[in-house]
Amino acid sequence: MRQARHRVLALGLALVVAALAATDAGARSTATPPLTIYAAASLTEVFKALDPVQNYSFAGSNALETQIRNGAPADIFASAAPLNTQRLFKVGMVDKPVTFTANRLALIVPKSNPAGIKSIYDLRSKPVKLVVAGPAVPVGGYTLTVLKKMGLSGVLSKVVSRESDVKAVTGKVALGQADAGFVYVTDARPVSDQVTVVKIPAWAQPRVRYEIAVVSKSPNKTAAQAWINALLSAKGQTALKNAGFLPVPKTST
Amino acid sequence: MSAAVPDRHGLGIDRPVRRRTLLLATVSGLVVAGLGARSAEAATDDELAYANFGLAAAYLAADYYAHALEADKLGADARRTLRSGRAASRSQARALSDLITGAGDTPAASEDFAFEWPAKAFDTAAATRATGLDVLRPTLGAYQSAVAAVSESSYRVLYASLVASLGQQVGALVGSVGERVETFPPALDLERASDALEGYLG
Amino acid sequence: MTSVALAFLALPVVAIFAQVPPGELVSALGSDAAKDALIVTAKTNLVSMILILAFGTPAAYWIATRNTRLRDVVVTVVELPLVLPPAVAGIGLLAAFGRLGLLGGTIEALGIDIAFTQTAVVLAVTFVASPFYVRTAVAAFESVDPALPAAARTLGAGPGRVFARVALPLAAGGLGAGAALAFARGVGEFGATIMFAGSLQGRTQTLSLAVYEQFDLDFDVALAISALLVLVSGAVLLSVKLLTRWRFASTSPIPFAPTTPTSG
Repeated sequence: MRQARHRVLALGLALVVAALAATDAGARSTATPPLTIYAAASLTEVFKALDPVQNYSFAGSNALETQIRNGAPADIFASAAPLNTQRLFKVGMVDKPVTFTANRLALIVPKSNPAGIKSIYDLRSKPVKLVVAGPAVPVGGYTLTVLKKMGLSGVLSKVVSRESDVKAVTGKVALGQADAGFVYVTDARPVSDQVTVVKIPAWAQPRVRYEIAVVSKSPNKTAAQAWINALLSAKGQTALKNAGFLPVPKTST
Repeated sequence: MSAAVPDRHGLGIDRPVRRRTLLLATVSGLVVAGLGARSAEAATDDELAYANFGLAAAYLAADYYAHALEADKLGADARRTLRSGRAASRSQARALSDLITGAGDTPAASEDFAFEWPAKAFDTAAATRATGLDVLRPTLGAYQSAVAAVSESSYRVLYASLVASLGQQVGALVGSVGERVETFPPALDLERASDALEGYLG
Repeated sequence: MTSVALAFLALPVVAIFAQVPPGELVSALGSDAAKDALIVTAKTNLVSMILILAFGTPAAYWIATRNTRLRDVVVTVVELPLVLPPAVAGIGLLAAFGRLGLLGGTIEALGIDIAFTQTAVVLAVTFVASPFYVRTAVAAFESVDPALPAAARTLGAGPGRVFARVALPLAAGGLGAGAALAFARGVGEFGATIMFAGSLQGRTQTLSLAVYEQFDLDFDVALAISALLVLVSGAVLLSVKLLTRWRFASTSPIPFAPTTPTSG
């Protein structure tokens, strides 16, 4: 009697495992499987345009770092701040990261500009519903740096929401829900008909560096490295430049 | 100030004055460097903002002088002045960097900037002078505001020295023929100074 | 097979409590993020439950005591938020009540500020949770033996009195169960809230939103808040079970008959 029950239990487990394997195998039926690329949300448009074939997961770089740390099946990790890739590198979860592009921050307001923001300094003097990314999200940290450099940290008292990635900030401003939001200049472009960009002066810009690395446990390391090389090549760099990203300065750390 | 000597080099000021200018620029550069090395105690938001702006402006000025030297439209004697201006700007950048580091922040490096100069900015002597004044005057105005706005006394001395140094650099570029001395050069708040340099800072 | 199913369902819940020792759990619950989230969740869900009960109960009674075709339409509309993915609910709320939404101009003209306030959280929670209450309440009112309100009417009670003194007490068990379900759904709401109200600690960040943010910042705090939510959900499930039994007992069609619980 017990033997029969054990057999049923084993069969049940086998069924579950088989089902999981089947869903996985379906993705591996072609010769060159699409890579699973975990990338910062700000890279959504440019990566998809550059190579629509791969499987992408776009989110805040800190959320992606946590997922990879907990075993997410990524082949490549592209982060908007060195911190996230370096932390994974220190514990051996990714191979040596490489800097591949840079960016600048901008303040965006809805086209209707309900709070009448013409310059960053207006944030100080006018009532405004300001939306930023959370402090652990790269763009959120960069926002804090910008405000500190300009002596405008007091503006943070006007924050009404801390979002989990830069696209959520962009969305709320584009929809007119928020009066203003801090994003990358590259995020303003796809919604340029819904938002107006208020320029942040060059002397207040933080040092934004995007890093990319092959995930150590990836089963497609050669393909992943080839993809990264293509990104670092002229073709990839031109695509990034056309999307508004900045080339990496020569002597970057 | 001194006996008039024919101005043969088109820089627009007298020779002895130029020598004095050179000396004063160097000395002020050293003084500024010395002051900046003091550690930052309780730097407020505003004080750091002026420092961050000034740092970029100093890199910009150094770049201006480098371009002016390369174009070499102001004459051989002017080269010494331009070189001292470049050295002064670099010292000032270092001093402001130290101030920012002392306050616990990361200062920008010159590689972080991609300065933009208009096409004909250094084509003639007049153009070179005009470009220089365009860059130096707003910086001077910002430092004047900093002196009033900043509370930490060692920083106030620093910014006052920067005002003095930039005043001399502006004076070195202003031609004595037809150009007036400003009675009360305006102090610019950070927003206006930043807007004035926006085209150059990139 | 049962043990496989049980293991699969129980493991994530057990794991939450197994990962962090209870002492750390309690101290993590004392963190600012957890405390603020608890207060925001309590406030917004309390207001939301009041609204749901106040508007949902008469609505459910109306639905239960009518038989017209209009009733079917009303039922579909009421149950719509049930099948909407929360993100869609969020977009819908923005489209209706957002600044550029249908009623946005009117709301602003009235001087009311909804964007990024607790009012927005209340709206989002009420929207997604009300169907849970109304559906159960309708079933509860329908299970009241029609002979009893009829008897009350023949004895001279007006419709209001019939509702308040006869139908309501008899359906109370089911209403309570519905309220518990709606409360649990409201506490767990995430997608619509973050889209419509945003997330700001101390103002709009509910327990669910706090778990999401703490996931990257301090995993222990995330675990602690999750454990709290598990306990709340467990309490809700238990109360639903008990109230359902009570409901069957109180609406037995045969008065004075011995009550036998139908479920085990």
